[in-house]
Amino acid sequence: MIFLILLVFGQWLTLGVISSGDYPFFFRESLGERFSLPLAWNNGYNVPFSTQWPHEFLTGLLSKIGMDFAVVERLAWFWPFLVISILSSRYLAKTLFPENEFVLSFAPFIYLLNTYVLTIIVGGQVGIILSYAFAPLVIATLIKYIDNEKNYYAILSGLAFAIQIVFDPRISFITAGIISLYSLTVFKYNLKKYVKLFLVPLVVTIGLHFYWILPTLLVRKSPLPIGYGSTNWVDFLSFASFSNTISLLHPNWPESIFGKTYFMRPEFLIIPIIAFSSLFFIFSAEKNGSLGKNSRNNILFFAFIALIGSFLAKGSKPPFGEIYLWLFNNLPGMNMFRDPTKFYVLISLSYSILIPFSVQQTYSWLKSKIKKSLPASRQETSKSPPFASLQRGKQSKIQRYSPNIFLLLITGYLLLLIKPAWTGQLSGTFKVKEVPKEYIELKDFIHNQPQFFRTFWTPQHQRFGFYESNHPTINASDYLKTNDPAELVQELRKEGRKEELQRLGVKYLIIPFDSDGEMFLTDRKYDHQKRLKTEEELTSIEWLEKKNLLEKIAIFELKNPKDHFWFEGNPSQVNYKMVDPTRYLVTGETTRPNNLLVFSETYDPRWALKINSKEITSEKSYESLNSFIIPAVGKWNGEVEFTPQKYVNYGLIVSGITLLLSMTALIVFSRK
Amino acid sequence: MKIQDILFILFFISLIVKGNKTTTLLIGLGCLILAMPLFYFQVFFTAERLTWYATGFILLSILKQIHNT
Repeated sequence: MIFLILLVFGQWLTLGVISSGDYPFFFRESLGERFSLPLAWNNGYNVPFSTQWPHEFLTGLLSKIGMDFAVVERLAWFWPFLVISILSSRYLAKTLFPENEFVLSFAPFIYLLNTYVLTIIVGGQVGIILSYAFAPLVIATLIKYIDNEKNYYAILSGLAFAIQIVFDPRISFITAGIISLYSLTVFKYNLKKYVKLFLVPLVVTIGLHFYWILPTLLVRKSPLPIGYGSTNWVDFLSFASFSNTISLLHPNWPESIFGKTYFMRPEFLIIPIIAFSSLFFIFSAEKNGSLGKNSRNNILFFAFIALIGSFLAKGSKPPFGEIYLWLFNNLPGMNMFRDPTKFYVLISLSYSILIPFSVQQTYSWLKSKIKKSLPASRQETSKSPPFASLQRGKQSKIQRYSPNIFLLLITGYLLLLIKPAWTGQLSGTFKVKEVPKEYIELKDFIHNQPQFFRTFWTPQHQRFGFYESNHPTINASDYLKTNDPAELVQELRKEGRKEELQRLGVKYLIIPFDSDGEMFLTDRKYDHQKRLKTEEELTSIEWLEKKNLLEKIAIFELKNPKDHFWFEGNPSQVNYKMVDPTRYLVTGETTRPNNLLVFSETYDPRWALKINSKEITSEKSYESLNSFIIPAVGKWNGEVEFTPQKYVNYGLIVSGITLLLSMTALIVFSRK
Repeated sequence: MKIQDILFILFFISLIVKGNKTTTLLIGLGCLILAMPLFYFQVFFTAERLTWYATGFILLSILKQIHNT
């Protein structure tokens, strides 16, 4: 197992930079900014209140103490994923089958090395993989709590669940679903038992996450982006067929290219055959009493979960895809799952129990067959023809080794299925890369300019492009609502666009060096001509001045961008200091009443300017910016703040108290 | 609805009434085994349907086991 992990994840043990797909890159300067209290506003966006702050805080801290991104990402993401997945899945297997060493050892192999999780890793969805890693631990601790009712497990499960939510709440939702179903099989209609089971873990979880739960409730802001909950997304993202899901075969395996799927590979159908063969042993164990009732029930439960997972993971595809769409629209929480492949977690979890169990039972059965057949053949040898004993000797050798041959075949088969993983064919976050020196030079160029400005990336921000609070970025494709480079340039040429960008504080328009071939694409392949054309078009715009700074990154300067705060119309003075992205200390001198102070962040009515304890609410100006009408004349001092931040701060106090109490209780109960 | 689906439904109903859980499970696994060569020879429609039927039979065998206990 260790050798296999080294083969598959070897690059994670080197010190090259890993960044691909959804997984971004951070320079130390921007990563260090994460070392702050949770913020309700960041980088120009009114962010959905994020569950990920504790982890961001940790990565920020590691960066602040001098660690490079390559080290931080291994310590904070990749190595924890490996360790936790193995230990967590082993812990679940041990909880369900405490004396079955084979299942304990084999379960992590299935859980960590299946096409679903490997494809997710390729795609750089690191939040999902870490949440995935914690799932077995959460389930196991709650099962232990059900079995022995020790408070230690109640608190531990609350902590584990809270950590899981940090990385991806959707996987936590699925985990909660599994536990709810499991408790249904144990408690049935006993309501008191449910309350007892869930009360402590829920209180711990909610308490720890109160820093975002409180503002979400009070501000009544949907935690999901606009349009996220549309069934059109479900139809669009339902790539897996039922044969894929029941075979634990991710539809994008192995290249993980969005939208690219393959014909069903029939060899993967052996996986469900092995998994569901475990039911044979349950049925026969009922007759001969070779397995305890708990073990039989656990196998039945996970077989059922595997079928549910297979059904849900195909989304709106047949059969009965309408059921998924109905659930998406009607079941609370299901609108988080516009991408149904998240439900592969159910299949992966279940098969990590069923397959080792099935293999182990088959192995034991084969061994028992040998023991039964050998004594009988020894009795016959005296009456049989001359060479018969030799044949029987050969036969008994094959029989004797058949359990091991079976194990070898199964292991070989499972390894063959994931061959691209251990032959180094997987790309994405399985490969390290070098940060192009052009981006390091660009970072220095931007970071060394102390004044505030924005950079406008055409068509979009490249993963190695530098940004920080003082120099945020704008994606041209998001802002101008088109991905096509030619259309982007057309949009830029429109009347008034120059003044619009100046008001946003844009100082540089940047055409990135597409080092990873992710942007200027024709038929999914990098098209250099497209990039050259874009650069040519932008050069012909008269209000942009091309800077000949970097060979592969085109930088165009826009003269006279506005600052972060500025007065409309007249040259009144304003100075400001950013305390954090939700709070600014502003001093100004106005020469007439009702001057309009513009604050170039995306308009939100919850921004407010306080002068002498009088609060001035933000009004929308220039269609998308904040502004404050200053009634006073002369010098004044004020504070601009994003008002929901106070709810985050109150919630954080509760989260801190919960953490302290939970850790104390855990230590106390562990000694009992 | 195709002819395969009608046959499946009829067979399924007969298994509900008369079949035991082991036979039902065997039939389910048999469907999966049968689907493999069909996928290999790109007879996708029937192969895909066989995986659906397999799930139906496996689910039935689980429900029979739960009912027995």
